[in-house]
Amino acid sequence: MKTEKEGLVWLLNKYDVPYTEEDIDAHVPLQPWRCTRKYVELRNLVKSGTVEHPCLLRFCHLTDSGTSLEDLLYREFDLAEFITGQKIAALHAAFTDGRSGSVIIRLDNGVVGSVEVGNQIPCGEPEVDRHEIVARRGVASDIAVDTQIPQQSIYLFKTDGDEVYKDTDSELFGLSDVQIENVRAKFAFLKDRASKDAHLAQDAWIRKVVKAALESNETKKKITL
Amino acid sequence: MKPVKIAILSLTHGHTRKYFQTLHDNPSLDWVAVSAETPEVKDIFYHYGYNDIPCYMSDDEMFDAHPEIEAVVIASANSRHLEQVRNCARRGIHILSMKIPTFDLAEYDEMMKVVREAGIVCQVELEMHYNPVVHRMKDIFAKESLGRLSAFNATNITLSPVWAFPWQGVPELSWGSRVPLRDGDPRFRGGALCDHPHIFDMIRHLTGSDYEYIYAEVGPNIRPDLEEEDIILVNGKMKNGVSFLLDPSWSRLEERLKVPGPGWEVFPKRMEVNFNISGEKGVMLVDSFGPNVYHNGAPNDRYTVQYTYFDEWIGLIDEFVDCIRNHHTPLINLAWHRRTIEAVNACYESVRTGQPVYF
Repeated sequence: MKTEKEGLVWLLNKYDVPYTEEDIDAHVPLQPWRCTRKYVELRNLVKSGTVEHPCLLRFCHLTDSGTSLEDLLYREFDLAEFITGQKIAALHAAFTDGRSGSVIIRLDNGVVGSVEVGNQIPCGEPEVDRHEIVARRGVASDIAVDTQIPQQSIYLFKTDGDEVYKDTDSELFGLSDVQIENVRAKFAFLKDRASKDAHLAQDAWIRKVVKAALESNETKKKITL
Repeated sequence: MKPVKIAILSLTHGHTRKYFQTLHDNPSLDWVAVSAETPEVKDIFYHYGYNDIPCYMSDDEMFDAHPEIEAVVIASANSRHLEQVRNCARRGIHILSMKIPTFDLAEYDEMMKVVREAGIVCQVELEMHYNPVVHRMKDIFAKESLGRLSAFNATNITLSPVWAFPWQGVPELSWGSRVPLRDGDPRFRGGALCDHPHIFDMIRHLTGSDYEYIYAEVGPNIRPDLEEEDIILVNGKMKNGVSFLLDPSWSRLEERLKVPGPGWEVFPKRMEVNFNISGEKGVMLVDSFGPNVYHNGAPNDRYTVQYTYFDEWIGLIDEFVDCIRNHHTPLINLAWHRRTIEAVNACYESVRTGQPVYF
Protein backbone atom coordinates (compact mmCIF):
# COMPACT_ATOMS: atom_id res chain seq x y z
CA MET A 1 0.00 0.00 0.00
CA LYS A 2 1.57 3.28 -1.07
CA THR A 3 -0.96 6.12 -1.20
CA GLU A 4 -3.48 7.52 1.26
CA LYS A 5 -6.25 7.14 -1.30
CA GLU A 6 -5.42 3.50 -1.81
CA GLY A 7 -5.52 2.90 1.95
CA LEU A 8 -8.77 4.78 2.43
CA VAL A 9 -10.58 3.03 -0.39
CA TRP A 10 -9.36 -0.34 0.90
CA LEU A 11 -10.75 0.36 4.39
CA LEU A 12 -14.05 1.74 3.08
CA ASN A 13 -14.58 -1.33 0.93
CA LYS A 14 -13.50 -3.77 3.64
CA TYR A 15 -15.86 -2.32 6.23
CA ASP A 16 -18.73 -1.66 3.81
CA VAL A 17 -18.77 2.10 4.36
CA PRO A 18 -20.67 3.88 1.55
CA TYR A 19 -18.71 6.63 -0.25
CA THR A 20 -18.37 8.58 -3.49
CA GLU A 21 -15.30 9.87 -5.29
CA GLU A 22 -16.21 13.33 -4.01
CA ASP A 23 -16.04 12.01 -0.44
CA ILE A 24 -12.52 10.76 -1.04
CA ASP A 25 -11.29 14.12 -2.31
CA ALA A 26 -13.31 16.42 -0.03
CA HIS A 27 -11.33 18.52 2.42
CA VAL A 28 -12.59 18.77 5.98
CA PRO A 29 -10.22 19.91 8.76
CA LEU A 30 -10.28 16.68 10.77
CA GLN A 31 -7.54 17.07 13.41
CA PRO A 32 -6.28 13.67 12.20
CA TRP A 33 -3.93 13.02 15.15
CA ARG A 34 -7.08 12.35 17.18
CA CYS A 35 -7.16 8.96 15.43
CA THR A 36 -3.54 8.14 16.24
CA ARG A 37 -3.55 5.31 18.72
CA LYS A 38 -0.92 6.62 21.10
CA TYR A 39 -2.93 9.79 21.65
CA VAL A 40 -6.14 7.80 21.96
CA GLU A 41 -4.44 5.67 24.64
CA LEU A 42 -3.23 8.77 26.51
CA ARG A 43 -6.74 10.20 26.38
CA ASN A 44 -8.16 6.89 27.64
CA LEU A 45 -5.71 6.90 30.55
CA VAL A 46 -7.00 10.31 31.58
CA LYS A 47 -10.66 9.61 30.85
CA SER A 48 -10.64 6.29 32.72
CA GLY A 49 -8.97 7.83 35.77
CA THR A 50 -5.90 5.61 35.42
CA VAL A 51 -3.95 8.81 35.84
CA GLU A 52 -6.11 10.71 38.25
CA HIS A 53 -6.48 14.48 38.52
CA PRO A 54 -4.00 15.80 35.94
CA CYS A 55 -2.09 18.92 36.95
CA LEU A 56 0.58 19.42 34.31
CA LEU A 57 1.12 18.69 30.62
CA ARG A 58 4.63 18.52 29.16
CA PHE A 59 4.38 18.49 25.37
CA CYS A 60 7.19 18.86 22.83
CA HIS A 61 7.25 18.59 19.06
CA LEU A 62 10.36 19.34 17.01
CA THR A 63 10.52 18.94 13.22
CA ASP A 64 12.52 20.09 10.24
CA SER A 65 11.68 23.27 8.35
CA GLY A 66 9.05 21.48 6.27
CA THR A 67 6.52 22.08 9.05
CA SER A 68 5.53 25.59 10.05
CA LEU A 69 5.45 26.74 13.66
CA GLU A 70 1.74 27.50 13.23
CA ASP A 71 1.02 23.93 12.15
CA LEU A 72 2.96 22.56 15.10
CA LEU A 73 1.07 24.81 17.51
CA TYR A 74 -2.27 23.84 15.95
CA ARG A 75 -1.52 20.15 16.41
CA GLU A 76 -0.19 20.41 19.97
CA PHE A 77 -2.93 22.75 21.19
CA ASP A 78 -5.59 20.44 19.79
CA LEU A 79 -3.89 17.44 21.38
CA ALA A 80 -3.87 19.20 24.74
CA GLU A 81 -7.62 19.64 24.48
CA PHE A 82 -8.23 16.16 23.06
CA ILE A 83 -6.23 14.32 25.71
CA THR A 84 -7.57 16.27 28.67
CA GLY A 85 -11.10 16.96 27.44
CA GLN A 86 -10.61 20.61 28.43
CA LYS A 87 -10.34 23.91 26.55
CA ILE A 88 -7.33 26.20 26.54
CA ALA A 89 -8.27 29.27 28.58
CA ALA A 90 -5.09 31.32 28.54
CA LEU A 91 -1.55 31.26 27.21
CA HIS A 92 1.80 32.97 27.13
CA ALA A 93 4.16 32.35 24.19
CA ALA A 94 7.82 33.09 23.55
CA PHE A 95 9.27 32.32 20.10
CA THR A 96 12.54 33.17 18.36
CA ASP A 97 12.77 33.94 14.65
CA GLY A 98 9.45 32.21 14.05
CA ARG A 99 11.34 28.89 14.21
CA SER A 100 11.24 27.69 17.80
CA GLY A 101 10.05 28.51 21.28
CA SER A 102 7.47 27.60 23.85
CA VAL A 103 3.99 28.29 25.09
CA ILE A 104 2.66 27.96 28.61
CA ILE A 105 -1.03 27.16 28.48
CA ARG A 106 -3.72 27.08 31.15
CA LEU A 107 -6.80 24.94 30.61
CA ASP A 108 -10.36 25.63 31.76
CA ASN A 109 -9.91 23.40 34.80
CA GLY A 110 -6.66 25.05 35.89
CA VAL A 111 -4.26 22.45 34.50
CA VAL A 112 -1.13 24.08 33.11
CA GLY A 113 1.02 22.84 30.27
CA SER A 114 4.26 23.55 28.48
CA VAL A 115 4.30 23.23 24.72
CA GLU A 116 7.78 23.23 23.18
CA VAL A 117 7.81 23.62 19.41
CA GLY A 118 10.48 24.11 16.77
CA ASN A 119 11.34 23.29 13.20
CA GLN A 120 15.12 23.40 13.30
CA ILE A 121 15.89 19.70 13.21
CA PRO A 122 18.11 19.12 10.17
CA CYS A 123 16.25 17.83 7.12
CA GLY A 124 16.17 14.07 6.99
CA GLU A 125 16.42 13.59 10.76
CA PRO A 126 13.41 12.08 12.55
CA GLU A 127 10.89 14.26 14.35
CA VAL A 128 10.98 14.35 18.14
CA ASP A 129 7.79 14.52 20.11
CA ARG A 130 6.77 13.89 23.68
CA HIS A 131 3.41 14.04 25.41
CA GLU A 132 3.49 13.65 29.16
CA ILE A 133 0.61 14.09 31.57
CA VAL A 134 1.55 14.57 35.22
CA ALA A 135 -1.28 13.86 37.64
CA ARG A 136 -1.80 13.64 41.39
CA ARG A 137 -1.93 9.91 40.78
CA GLY A 138 0.48 8.80 38.11
CA VAL A 139 2.27 10.07 35.04
CA ALA A 140 1.39 9.01 31.50
CA SER A 141 3.72 9.48 28.55
CA ASP A 142 4.27 8.40 24.99
CA ILE A 143 8.00 7.98 25.47
CA ALA A 144 9.62 5.48 27.80
CA VAL A 145 11.21 6.49 31.08
CA ASP A 146 14.90 7.36 30.84
CA THR A 147 14.76 8.07 27.11
CA GLN A 148 14.79 11.36 25.21
CA ILE A 149 13.55 10.36 21.79
CA PRO A 150 10.70 8.18 20.55
CA GLN A 151 11.73 4.56 20.17
CA GLN A 152 11.49 2.50 17.00
CA SER A 153 10.32 -1.09 16.55
CA ILE A 154 13.24 -2.16 14.37
CA TYR A 155 16.86 -1.01 14.37
CA LEU A 156 18.86 -2.34 11.45
CA PHE A 157 22.60 -1.73 11.75
CA LYS A 158 24.24 -2.50 8.42
CA THR A 159 27.59 -2.07 6.78
CA ASP A 160 25.97 0.07 4.06
CA GLY A 161 23.97 2.32 6.40
CA ASP A 162 21.54 2.00 9.28
CA GLU A 163 17.75 1.86 8.99
CA VAL A 164 14.94 2.16 11.51
CA TYR A 165 11.28 1.25 11.21
CA LYS A 166 8.14 1.73 13.26
CA ASP A 167 5.13 -0.10 11.84
CA THR A 168 1.97 0.17 13.85
CA ASP A 169 -0.96 -0.57 11.58
CA SER A 170 -1.21 -3.92 9.85
CA GLU A 171 -4.20 -2.93 7.72
CA LEU A 172 -2.35 0.10 6.35
CA PHE A 173 1.10 -1.47 6.19
CA GLY A 174 3.43 0.50 3.96
CA LEU A 175 2.01 3.95 4.70
CA SER A 176 3.93 6.44 6.85
CA ASP A 177 2.73 7.53 10.29
CA VAL A 178 1.34 10.75 8.83
CA GLN A 179 -0.41 8.93 6.00
CA ILE A 180 -1.94 6.44 8.45
CA GLU A 181 -3.11 9.32 10.63
CA ASN A 182 -4.80 10.98 7.66
CA VAL A 183 -6.39 7.77 6.37
CA ARG A 184 -7.71 6.70 9.78
CA ALA A 185 -9.16 10.17 10.37
CA LYS A 186 -10.88 10.30 7.00
CA PHE A 187 -12.18 6.76 7.44
CA ALA A 188 -13.57 7.59 10.89
CA PHE A 189 -15.19 10.71 9.46
CA LEU A 190 -16.82 8.89 6.56
CA LYS A 191 -18.25 6.39 9.03
CA ASP A 192 -19.62 9.24 11.14
CA ARG A 193 -20.32 12.27 9.00
CA ALA A 194 -22.29 13.90 11.77
CA SER A 195 -18.96 14.88 13.29
CA LYS A 196 -18.34 17.44 10.54
CA ASP A 197 -19.67 20.42 12.49
CA ALA A 198 -17.59 19.51 15.53
CA HIS A 199 -14.44 19.31 13.39
CA LEU A 200 -15.17 22.68 11.77
CA ALA A 201 -15.86 24.30 15.13
CA GLN A 202 -12.66 22.89 16.62
CA ASP A 203 -10.69 24.08 13.60
CA ALA A 204 -11.99 27.61 14.01
CA TRP A 205 -11.26 27.54 17.73
CA ILE A 206 -7.71 26.18 17.48
CA ARG A 207 -6.90 28.69 14.74
CA LYS A 208 -7.93 31.37 17.20
CA VAL A 209 -5.66 29.88 19.89
CA VAL A 210 -2.71 29.73 17.47
CA LYS A 211 -3.32 33.36 16.51
CA ALA A 212 -3.38 34.26 20.19
CA ALA A 213 -0.03 32.52 20.70
CA LEU A 214 1.55 34.53 17.92
CA GLU A 215 0.03 37.68 19.35
CA SER A 216 1.31 36.83 22.81
CA ASN A 217 4.82 36.47 21.43
CA GLU A 218 4.54 39.85 19.70
CA THR A 219 3.02 41.72 22.64
CA LYS A 220 5.00 39.81 25.32
CA LYS A 221 1.76 39.45 27.26
CA LYS A 222 -0.39 36.64 28.57
CA ILE A 223 -3.60 36.31 26.60
CA THR A 224 -6.85 35.08 28.06
CA LEU A 225 -9.09 33.45 25.51
CA MET B 1 -18.73 -11.74 -0.08
CA LYS B 2 -21.20 -13.61 2.08
CA PRO B 3 -20.25 -13.21 5.76
CA VAL B 4 -18.97 -16.36 7.45
CA LYS B 5 -21.26 -17.46 10.27
CA ILE B 6 -18.89 -18.06 13.14
CA ALA B 7 -18.93 -19.14 16.79
CA ILE B 8 -16.41 -19.48 19.61
CA LEU B 9 -16.08 -22.71 21.60
CA SER B 10 -15.39 -22.98 25.34
CA LEU B 11 -14.10 -19.41 26.02
CA THR B 12 -11.39 -20.71 28.36
CA HIS B 13 -8.27 -19.94 26.34
CA GLY B 14 -6.24 -16.86 27.21
CA HIS B 15 -6.64 -15.48 23.71
CA THR B 16 -10.44 -15.72 23.71
CA ARG B 17 -11.13 -12.09 24.54
CA LYS B 18 -8.82 -10.92 21.72
CA TYR B 19 -11.39 -12.18 19.22
CA PHE B 20 -14.42 -10.41 20.59
CA GLN B 21 -13.92 -7.05 18.92
CA THR B 22 -12.76 -8.52 15.59
CA LEU B 23 -15.69 -10.91 15.38
CA HIS B 24 -18.01 -8.05 16.25
CA ASP B 25 -16.50 -5.46 13.85
CA ASN B 26 -15.48 -7.46 10.79
CA PRO B 27 -18.28 -7.32 8.19
CA SER B 28 -16.95 -10.55 6.66
CA LEU B 29 -18.17 -12.35 9.77
CA ASP B 30 -21.55 -12.95 11.29
CA TRP B 31 -20.90 -13.82 14.94
CA VAL B 32 -23.67 -16.29 15.73
CA ALA B 33 -23.02 -17.75 19.19
CA VAL B 34 -20.53 -18.95 21.79
CA SER B 35 -20.32 -21.97 24.06
CA ALA B 36 -18.99 -21.68 27.61
CA GLU B 37 -17.48 -24.40 29.74
CA THR B 38 -18.85 -23.16 33.06
CA PRO B 39 -21.41 -20.65 34.33
CA GLU B 40 -18.52 -18.56 35.66
CA VAL B 41 -16.97 -18.39 32.18
CA LYS B 42 -20.37 -17.42 30.78
CA ASP B 43 -20.67 -14.59 33.32
CA ILE B 44 -17.21 -13.32 32.42
CA PHE B 45 -18.14 -13.36 28.72
CA TYR B 46 -21.22 -11.21 29.27
CA HIS B 47 -19.13 -8.88 31.39
CA TYR B 48 -17.50 -7.79 28.10
CA GLY B 49 -20.86 -6.48 26.91
CA TYR B 50 -21.71 -8.71 23.96
CA ASN B 51 -25.18 -9.34 25.31
CA ASP B 52 -26.75 -10.04 21.91
CA ILE B 53 -24.58 -13.14 21.38
CA PRO B 54 -26.29 -16.29 22.74
CA CYS B 55 -24.12 -18.36 25.04
CA TYR B 56 -24.68 -22.13 25.35
CA MET B 57 -23.36 -24.50 27.96
CA SER B 58 -22.22 -27.15 25.49
CA ASP B 59 -20.84 -27.20 21.95
CA ASP B 60 -23.48 -29.65 20.74
CA GLU B 61 -26.33 -27.63 22.19
CA MET B 62 -25.00 -24.60 20.32
CA PHE B 63 -24.45 -26.46 17.05
CA ASP B 64 -27.94 -28.01 17.22
CA ALA B 65 -29.52 -24.63 17.86
CA HIS B 66 -27.51 -22.98 15.08
CA PRO B 67 -27.04 -25.34 12.14
CA GLU B 68 -26.02 -22.27 10.12
CA ILE B 69 -22.62 -22.08 11.89
CA GLU B 70 -19.87 -22.47 9.28
CA ALA B 71 -16.74 -21.89 11.32
CA VAL B 72 -15.50 -21.80 14.90
CA VAL B 73 -12.66 -20.51 16.97
CA ILE B 74 -11.69 -23.39 19.26
CA ALA B 75 -10.78 -21.44 22.38
CA SER B 76 -10.37 -24.19 24.93
CA ALA B 77 -7.76 -26.01 26.98
CA ASN B 78 -5.30 -28.01 24.88
CA SER B 79 -6.70 -31.26 26.28
CA ARG B 80 -10.10 -30.61 24.70
CA HIS B 81 -8.91 -29.81 21.20
CA LEU B 82 -9.03 -33.29 19.68
CA GLU B 83 -12.66 -34.00 20.61
CA GLN B 84 -13.68 -30.54 19.37
CA VAL B 85 -11.79 -30.95 16.09
CA ARG B 86 -13.48 -34.32 15.60
CA ASN B 87 -16.89 -32.79 16.28
CA CYS B 88 -16.30 -29.90 13.86
CA ALA B 89 -14.95 -32.20 11.15
CA ARG B 90 -18.00 -34.43 11.53
CA ARG B 91 -20.22 -31.40 11.08
CA GLY B 92 -18.14 -29.87 8.24
CA ILE B 93 -17.32 -26.77 10.26
CA HIS B 94 -14.12 -24.84 9.56
CA ILE B 95 -11.67 -24.43 12.44
CA LEU B 96 -9.45 -21.69 13.75
CA SER B 97 -7.30 -23.61 16.22
CA MET B 98 -5.42 -22.13 19.16
CA LYS B 99 -1.62 -22.14 18.88
CA ILE B 100 -1.30 -25.66 20.30
CA PRO B 101 -3.65 -28.14 18.61
CA THR B 102 -2.10 -30.90 20.76
CA PHE B 103 1.36 -32.05 21.84
CA ASP B 104 0.45 -35.69 21.33
CA LEU B 105 1.59 -36.48 17.79
CA ALA B 106 -0.80 -39.41 17.41
CA GLU B 107 -3.64 -37.03 18.26
CA TYR B 108 -2.10 -34.44 15.95
CA ASP B 109 -2.05 -36.89 13.05
CA GLU B 110 -5.66 -37.81 13.71
CA MET B 111 -6.56 -34.11 13.57
CA MET B 112 -4.80 -33.81 10.22
CA LYS B 113 -6.65 -36.86 8.93
CA VAL B 114 -10.17 -35.81 9.97
CA VAL B 115 -9.61 -32.26 8.70
CA ARG B 116 -8.36 -33.55 5.35
CA GLU B 117 -11.21 -36.03 4.98
CA ALA B 118 -13.83 -33.45 5.91
CA GLY B 119 -12.40 -30.94 3.44
CA ILE B 120 -12.50 -28.15 5.99
CA VAL B 121 -10.09 -25.31 6.68
CA CYS B 122 -8.02 -25.64 9.85
CA GLN B 123 -5.88 -22.60 10.50
CA VAL B 124 -3.56 -22.52 13.51
CA GLU B 125 -3.56 -19.26 15.40
CA LEU B 126 0.01 -17.96 15.30
CA GLU B 127 -0.94 -14.34 15.30
CA MET B 128 2.60 -12.96 15.19
CA HIS B 129 2.48 -13.43 11.42
CA TYR B 130 -0.09 -10.62 11.25
CA ASN B 131 1.90 -8.21 13.44
CA PRO B 132 3.02 -5.15 11.40
CA VAL B 133 6.53 -5.22 12.87
CA VAL B 134 6.90 -8.86 11.88
CA HIS B 135 5.55 -7.91 8.45
CA ARG B 136 8.41 -5.41 8.14
CA MET B 137 10.88 -8.00 9.38
CA LYS B 138 9.71 -10.40 6.66
CA ASP B 139 10.26 -7.66 4.07
CA ILE B 140 13.79 -7.10 5.37
CA PHE B 141 14.47 -10.83 5.17
CA ALA B 142 13.07 -10.96 1.64
CA LYS B 143 15.58 -8.29 0.62
CA GLU B 144 18.36 -10.29 2.31
CA SER B 145 19.48 -7.07 3.98
CA LEU B 146 21.53 -8.95 6.58
CA GLY B 147 23.23 -11.20 4.04
CA ARG B 148 23.99 -14.72 5.19
CA LEU B 149 22.53 -15.19 8.65
CA SER B 150 24.61 -16.39 11.56
CA ALA B 151 22.52 -16.00 14.73
CA PHE B 152 18.80 -15.80 15.45
CA ASN B 153 17.95 -14.97 19.04
CA ALA B 154 14.41 -14.32 20.22
CA THR B 155 12.32 -13.86 23.33
CA ASN B 156 8.70 -14.74 23.83
CA ILE B 157 8.46 -13.85 27.50
CA THR B 158 5.30 -13.01 29.38
CA LEU B 159 3.63 -13.12 32.72
CA SER B 160 2.01 -16.43 33.61
CA PRO B 161 -1.67 -16.66 32.72
CA VAL B 162 -2.37 -19.66 34.98
CA TRP B 163 -4.31 -17.74 37.63
CA ALA B 164 -6.82 -16.45 35.07
CA PHE B 165 -6.76 -19.56 32.88
CA PRO B 166 -6.16 -22.38 35.38
CA TRP B 167 -5.92 -25.18 32.82
CA GLN B 168 -2.53 -23.82 31.80
CA GLY B 169 -1.23 -24.70 35.24
CA VAL B 170 -2.48 -28.30 35.09
CA PRO B 171 -0.07 -30.62 33.23
CA GLU B 172 -2.82 -32.95 31.97
CA LEU B 173 -4.79 -30.07 30.47
CA SER B 174 -1.85 -28.13 29.04
CA TRP B 175 0.72 -30.75 28.03
CA GLY B 176 -1.79 -33.60 27.81
CA SER B 177 -0.47 -35.88 30.55
CA ARG B 178 1.54 -35.72 33.77
CA VAL B 179 5.16 -36.18 32.70
CA PRO B 180 7.97 -35.15 35.07
CA LEU B 181 10.46 -32.67 33.63
CA ARG B 182 13.34 -35.02 34.57
CA ASP B 183 14.29 -37.51 37.22
CA GLY B 184 14.15 -35.97 40.67
CA ASP B 185 12.43 -32.77 39.53
CA PRO B 186 9.04 -32.25 41.19
CA ARG B 187 7.73 -30.28 38.22
CA PHE B 188 5.92 -31.47 35.11
CA ARG B 189 5.72 -30.56 31.44
CA GLY B 190 3.06 -28.03 30.48
CA GLY B 191 4.28 -24.59 31.58
CA ALA B 192 5.84 -21.60 29.83
CA LEU B 193 7.22 -23.64 26.95
CA CYS B 194 3.72 -24.80 26.03
CA ASP B 195 2.50 -21.21 25.96
CA HIS B 196 5.11 -19.81 23.58
CA PRO B 197 5.48 -21.66 20.27
CA HIS B 198 5.66 -18.45 18.21
CA ILE B 199 9.42 -18.05 18.08
CA PHE B 200 9.88 -21.77 17.36
CA ASP B 201 7.72 -21.19 14.29
CA MET B 202 9.14 -17.83 13.29
CA ILE B 203 12.73 -19.05 13.06
CA ARG B 204 11.63 -21.75 10.61
CA HIS B 205 9.63 -19.27 8.58
CA LEU B 206 12.28 -16.53 8.44
CA THR B 207 15.38 -18.66 7.93
CA GLY B 208 13.69 -21.07 5.55
CA SER B 209 15.53 -23.82 7.35
CA ASP B 210 14.77 -26.66 9.74
CA TYR B 211 16.13 -27.63 13.12
CA GLU B 212 19.38 -29.58 13.20
CA TYR B 213 19.51 -29.92 16.98
CA ILE B 214 17.96 -28.30 20.00
CA TYR B 215 19.02 -28.04 23.64
CA ALA B 216 16.93 -26.80 26.56
CA GLU B 217 17.57 -26.06 30.23
CA VAL B 218 15.04 -25.22 32.93
CA GLY B 219 15.82 -22.92 35.82
CA PRO B 220 14.31 -22.76 39.28
CA ASN B 221 10.77 -21.43 39.10
CA ILE B 222 10.18 -17.79 40.00
CA ARG B 223 6.75 -19.05 41.11
CA PRO B 224 7.70 -21.90 43.45
CA ASP B 225 4.08 -23.00 43.89
CA LEU B 226 3.62 -23.77 40.20
CA GLU B 227 3.95 -27.44 39.30
CA GLU B 228 5.17 -26.70 35.76
CA GLU B 229 8.29 -24.94 34.45
CA ASP B 230 8.24 -21.15 34.22
CA ILE B 231 11.90 -20.46 33.35
CA ILE B 232 13.38 -22.23 30.35
CA LEU B 233 16.12 -21.43 27.83
CA VAL B 234 16.64 -23.08 24.48
CA ASN B 235 19.52 -23.00 22.02
CA GLY B 236 20.83 -24.99 19.10
CA LYS B 237 21.41 -24.82 15.39
CA MET B 238 19.38 -24.86 12.22
CA LYS B 239 20.38 -27.05 9.29
CA ASN B 240 21.65 -23.99 7.40
CA GLY B 241 24.15 -23.29 10.16
CA VAL B 242 22.26 -20.49 11.92
CA SER B 243 22.66 -20.75 15.68
CA PHE B 244 19.73 -19.75 17.83
CA LEU B 245 18.79 -18.82 21.37
CA LEU B 246 15.11 -18.83 22.29
CA ASP B 247 13.65 -17.70 25.61
CA PRO B 248 10.01 -18.76 26.01
CA SER B 249 9.82 -18.17 29.78
CA TRP B 250 7.06 -16.84 31.99
CA SER B 251 9.70 -14.51 33.41
CA ARG B 252 7.47 -11.50 34.12
CA LEU B 253 5.65 -11.72 37.41
CA GLU B 254 1.96 -10.93 37.67
CA GLU B 255 -0.79 -10.20 40.13
CA ARG B 256 -2.83 -13.37 40.46
CA LEU B 257 -6.02 -11.99 38.91
CA LYS B 258 -8.88 -14.32 38.01
CA VAL B 259 -9.91 -12.05 35.15
CA PRO B 260 -7.20 -10.24 33.17
CA GLY B 261 -7.44 -6.49 33.51
CA PRO B 262 -5.60 -3.34 34.57
CA GLY B 263 -2.94 -4.06 37.17
CA TRP B 264 -2.27 -7.61 35.95
CA GLU B 265 1.45 -6.99 35.47
CA VAL B 266 4.10 -6.59 38.16
CA PHE B 267 6.96 -6.07 35.70
CA PRO B 268 6.05 -3.06 33.51
CA LYS B 269 5.88 -4.92 30.22
CA ARG B 270 3.87 -8.11 30.54
CA MET B 271 4.61 -9.50 27.09
CA GLU B 272 7.70 -9.21 24.92
CA VAL B 273 8.57 -10.77 21.57
CA ASN B 274 11.97 -9.40 20.62
CA PHE B 275 14.44 -10.57 18.00
CA ASN B 276 18.18 -10.05 17.84
CA ILE B 277 19.41 -11.32 14.49
CA SER B 278 22.96 -11.21 13.14
CA GLY B 279 24.22 -11.71 9.62
CA GLU B 280 27.30 -11.02 7.54
CA LYS B 281 26.05 -7.52 6.63
CA GLY B 282 24.81 -6.38 10.02
CA VAL B 283 22.49 -6.79 12.97
CA MET B 284 18.75 -6.30 13.40
CA LEU B 285 17.02 -5.58 16.72
CA VAL B 286 13.25 -5.98 16.75
CA ASP B 287 10.59 -5.23 19.34
CA SER B 288 7.33 -6.66 17.99
CA PHE B 289 5.26 -4.93 20.66
CA GLY B 290 6.82 -1.52 21.02
CA PRO B 291 7.00 1.35 21.39
CA ASN B 292 3.88 2.03 23.44
CA VAL B 293 2.35 4.47 25.88
CA TYR B 294 3.43 4.25 29.53
CA HIS B 295 1.98 5.21 32.92
CA ASN B 296 2.28 4.61 36.63
CA GLY B 297 -1.33 5.25 37.60
CA ALA B 298 -4.22 3.11 38.82
CA PRO B 299 -4.72 0.52 40.05
CA ASN B 300 -1.27 -0.27 41.48
CA ASP B 301 0.74 2.91 40.82
CA ARG B 302 3.43 0.86 39.11
CA TYR B 303 5.23 1.82 35.94
CA THR B 304 3.24 0.02 33.23
CA VAL B 305 3.40 -0.44 29.48
CA GLN B 306 -0.03 0.36 28.08
CA TYR B 307 -0.10 -1.75 24.93
CA THR B 308 -0.96 0.67 22.16
CA TYR B 309 -0.68 -1.20 18.90
CA PHE B 310 -2.19 -4.66 19.05
CA ASP B 311 -4.19 -5.70 16.00
CA GLU B 312 -2.85 -9.10 14.96
CA TRP B 313 -6.30 -10.64 15.26
CA ILE B 314 -7.64 -8.54 12.38
CA GLY B 315 -5.24 -9.98 9.79
CA LEU B 316 -5.53 -13.44 11.26
CA ILE B 317 -9.31 -13.47 10.85
CA ASP B 318 -9.07 -11.90 7.38
CA GLU B 319 -6.89 -14.81 6.28
CA PHE B 320 -9.26 -17.35 7.85
CA VAL B 321 -12.23 -15.88 5.97
CA ASP B 322 -10.25 -15.80 2.74
CA CYS B 323 -9.28 -19.46 3.14
CA ILE B 324 -12.91 -20.46 3.75
CA ARG B 325 -14.47 -18.45 0.94
CA ASN B 326 -11.70 -18.77 -1.65
CA HIS B 327 -10.48 -22.27 -0.81
CA HIS B 328 -6.96 -21.21 0.10
CA THR B 329 -4.60 -23.04 2.44
CA PRO B 330 -3.73 -21.08 5.59
CA LEU B 331 -0.12 -19.98 6.01
CA ILE B 332 -0.05 -21.79 9.37
CA ASN B 333 -1.82 -25.03 8.59
CA LEU B 334 -1.61 -28.28 10.53
CA ALA B 335 1.03 -29.81 8.25
CA TRP B 336 3.40 -26.82 8.55
CA HIS B 337 2.84 -26.46 12.29
CA ARG B 338 3.64 -30.10 13.11
CA ARG B 339 7.41 -29.42 13.08
CA THR B 340 6.99 -26.55 15.54
CA ILE B 341 5.17 -28.90 17.91
CA GLU B 342 7.97 -31.44 17.44
CA ALA B 343 10.51 -28.76 18.35
CA VAL B 344 8.67 -27.96 21.58
CA ASN B 345 8.51 -31.67 22.39
CA ALA B 346 12.24 -31.92 21.66
CA CYS B 347 12.91 -29.21 24.25
CA TYR B 348 11.21 -31.29 26.92
CA GLU B 349 13.15 -34.33 25.80
CA SER B 350 16.37 -32.33 26.06
CA VAL B 351 15.45 -31.20 29.56
CA ARG B 352 14.81 -34.84 30.49
CA THR B 353 18.10 -36.17 29.11
CA GLY B 354 20.30 -33.14 29.73
CA GLN B 355 21.57 -33.38 26.14
CA PRO B 356 20.69 -31.84 22.76
CA VAL B 357 18.06 -33.55 20.65
CA TYR B 358 18.88 -34.07 16.99
CA PHE B 359 16.21 -33.99 14.28
